Amino acid sequence: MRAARKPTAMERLRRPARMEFLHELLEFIDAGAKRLGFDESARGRIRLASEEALVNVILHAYAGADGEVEAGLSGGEDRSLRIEIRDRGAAFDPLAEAEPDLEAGLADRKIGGVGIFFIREAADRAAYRREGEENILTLYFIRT
Amino acid sequence: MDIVMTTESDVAVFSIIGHLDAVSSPELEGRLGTWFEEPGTRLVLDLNGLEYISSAGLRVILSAAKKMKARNGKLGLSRLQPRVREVFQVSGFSSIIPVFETLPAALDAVR
Repeated sequence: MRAARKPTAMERLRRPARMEFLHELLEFIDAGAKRLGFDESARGRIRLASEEALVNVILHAYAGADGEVEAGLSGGEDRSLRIEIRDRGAAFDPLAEAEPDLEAGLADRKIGGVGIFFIREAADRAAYRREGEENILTLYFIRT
Repeated sequence: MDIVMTTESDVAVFSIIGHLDAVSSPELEGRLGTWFEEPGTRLVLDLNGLEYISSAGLRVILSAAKKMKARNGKLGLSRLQPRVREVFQVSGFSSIIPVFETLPAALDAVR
């Protein structure tokens, strides 16, 4: 009988919230997903949700001032991957934003909100919480 | 990401290869911006080599589509790979920008 896999301790990577660090943060997340056995198609979804969450912090969390963003990841007993994206900007719940109008024609179509829509769509579950001075966005992915 | 621009008689073709994300999309935006300085009206984005696209990449393509419409031009996308196709479908972009299975089909459609 195989022992149930225990959740792994959370690994973290903290970097300045700037676009030049986006790829390093995404590679860190992708390496973790690969280690946990997620296939290429699932890793595409994980990368998409993670990029949209990180870019949102990089572009908006600190309103032009310096700040940091942290990616944390851990594997769960239930074949899951949990990713936490943390920043110390003003309180902001991306999941509370209105959905974009995906039916609009070309003339009226706006890109605003599509990134956050992709976070919801690509992750199996997403949750936001404010803890002290931190925004914490948690993304869950289940390995099929 | 790599961008290869070719001209098929009177149609400009941008082949976009690799990842079109928040880091690389400004480069595509710049290359298309240069093309938009000329009065071309037939444009194809060939996505055969594109493995990944995020909302930052979609933003650049949406902006190109709007500019083409403003100048009464025609834009077509060709050869979307499964994961890129999924992003276009989920975002509703496949219903506002014409998508073709093959490059010749896209070239025919914008002529």
